[in-house]
Amino acid sequence: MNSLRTQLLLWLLPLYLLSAAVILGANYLHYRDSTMAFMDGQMRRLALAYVEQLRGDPRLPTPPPLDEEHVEQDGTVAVQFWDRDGRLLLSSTWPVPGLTLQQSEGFHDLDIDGHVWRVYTAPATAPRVQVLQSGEFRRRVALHSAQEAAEPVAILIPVTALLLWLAVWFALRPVDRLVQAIAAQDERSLTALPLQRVPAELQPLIGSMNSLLARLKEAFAAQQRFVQDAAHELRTPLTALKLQVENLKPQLAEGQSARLESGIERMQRLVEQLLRLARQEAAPQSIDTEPVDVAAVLRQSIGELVPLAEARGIDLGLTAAEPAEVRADARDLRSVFDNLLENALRYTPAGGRVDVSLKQADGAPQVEVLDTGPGIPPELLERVFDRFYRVLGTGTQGSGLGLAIARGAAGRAGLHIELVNRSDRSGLAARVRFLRS
Amino acid sequence: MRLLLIEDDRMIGTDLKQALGQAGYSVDWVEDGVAGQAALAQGGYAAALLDLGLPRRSGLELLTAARGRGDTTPILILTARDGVEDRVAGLDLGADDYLLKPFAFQELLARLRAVLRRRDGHAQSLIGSGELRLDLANRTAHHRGEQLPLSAREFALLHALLERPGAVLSREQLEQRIYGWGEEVSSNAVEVIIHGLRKRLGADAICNVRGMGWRVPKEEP
Repeated sequence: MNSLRTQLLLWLLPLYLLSAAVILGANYLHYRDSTMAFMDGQMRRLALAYVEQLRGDPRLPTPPPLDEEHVEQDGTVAVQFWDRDGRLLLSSTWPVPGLTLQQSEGFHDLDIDGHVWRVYTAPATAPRVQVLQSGEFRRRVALHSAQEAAEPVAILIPVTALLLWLAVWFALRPVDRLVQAIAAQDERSLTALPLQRVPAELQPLIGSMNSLLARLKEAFAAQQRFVQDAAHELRTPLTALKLQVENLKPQLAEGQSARLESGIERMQRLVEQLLRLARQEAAPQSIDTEPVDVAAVLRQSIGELVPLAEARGIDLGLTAAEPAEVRADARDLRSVFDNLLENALRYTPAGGRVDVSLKQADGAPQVEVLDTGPGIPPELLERVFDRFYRVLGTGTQGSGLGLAIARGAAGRAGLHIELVNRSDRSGLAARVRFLRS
Repeated sequence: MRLLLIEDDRMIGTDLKQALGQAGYSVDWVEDGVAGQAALAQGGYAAALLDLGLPRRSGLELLTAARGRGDTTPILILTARDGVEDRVAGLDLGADDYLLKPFAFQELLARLRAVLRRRDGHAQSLIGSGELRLDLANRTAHHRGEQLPLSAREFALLHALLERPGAVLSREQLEQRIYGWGEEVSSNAVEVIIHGLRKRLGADAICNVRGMGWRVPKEEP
């Protein structure tokens, strides 16, 4: 994922760590060198102090006693006195074998049998003074002091890296808030995103988002208005038509008015189904839904359709109603059940039977509508969900919209509708599975 | 009987006036809300049929004003708007009934009769469907015009079913109506009562809906 935070941290953290490493390295070198220089100064002052003393009093002084511990652990400086010809006159009690008088005055680093010595040879006087210090000790001291100096920096690195991370995180907080504000948008009540506490860089983005939201809101409202207007405009002439047939009845033969009325009924049904479909599409998806008692909705639906079943001479019944609750819009559930039931009742011949059941199947509630109609040719089982599609030769005057409406409502409520032909006899089984409950 | 029709659609107005005239009502028809309000204020109408989407003053405004004046003329809303909010608003504001266009004319006549009956105070005591009527005031029943002797439980069961003709009531719902609290309920009491009633009233009087319960057929409009 292309995250701004990750991108920023991927750039900032390595850069920061690199500069911290450079500072650490430079610190280390600086402290090591200054420690060395300080110790060199001590050696030189000591040697020169002996030279000064010998100048006033030519008797050789006795250097303090020494042993290996003093030399290696404490870095005590050993002193040697040489004559002009390079013969050792007197030395500290802890002599270094194999060390000769250095010809040139100044500092020397000498390696004697794998042991490094720092040696200072004083300017030529008589007798000559040479002091030496353990290289190992000097290295240790220099390293130690460099470490001491570097330590605070090393501790600060993770702390500042964390602060850096926090800074990046906080700097991008407005983006998070924006995301939340957009996610919380309800299609029913689209509101402009707040412009307060938004960084200048994001202002144009939010500005265009708000204008998009405004247009979306307007589009939703326009569609809702259209459905309302269409409902009114389509129903008004139908009302007039029905009244006209009523007024004409005395002048019409029995069969004539019945045919006129059934034609108008069919038109009315089509209009109602079209409006239902349009309304379903215009209505925004409900975001927070309450738990719904599926059995109760199913009973309402059956109750509503009992008159149609009676009129068509079909035995409609509920064979099982196990308790089930789902989170969905009850209107969507009702629309699914109504349309599936109506479909079953319209395509089942008189004397047939429609059985409705609500059971638990595979851990989820499942509603099944079984009819004793002709079923649907297998190759058309998917096509019947298309709008205005009707299986030919059924002789039924449906609107061709019922299953399209049912599927639309099912999609919104998180249900899946499955149509299969019955295996035990002719007829259709419509199953509604609850994908989320 | 004089009716006031407030309807702005010319076609519906003409045809509805004619149809109601054939049904024996005399109809005054006005085409906008202001005229409707004025006509209603004059009084003398048995009932008013009110469209909601009217020019100059909406049907809901007219209704509010009329009820605000203390006008009790029964008002039946006829509208092509089917929003639940509209329906609730209409009934809350004091409409007596609400009929969605396009309605069957016979349905309108039936609702109109019901509204007029209610105005006359019969509604509370007389309920019925088809050939069966219950008088709740003196707890008597009539079937095809003849007095029908009923036990208390039979009366209670028919009362429950006839309150909402067409609606399916479950066994539990019916048991609650025929038994008092804490009374021992025998498992097939409802079936026994219904069986007895069917024998006397005819098998079609109370229909069983498998797995759901029982209903009485809705009165044919």
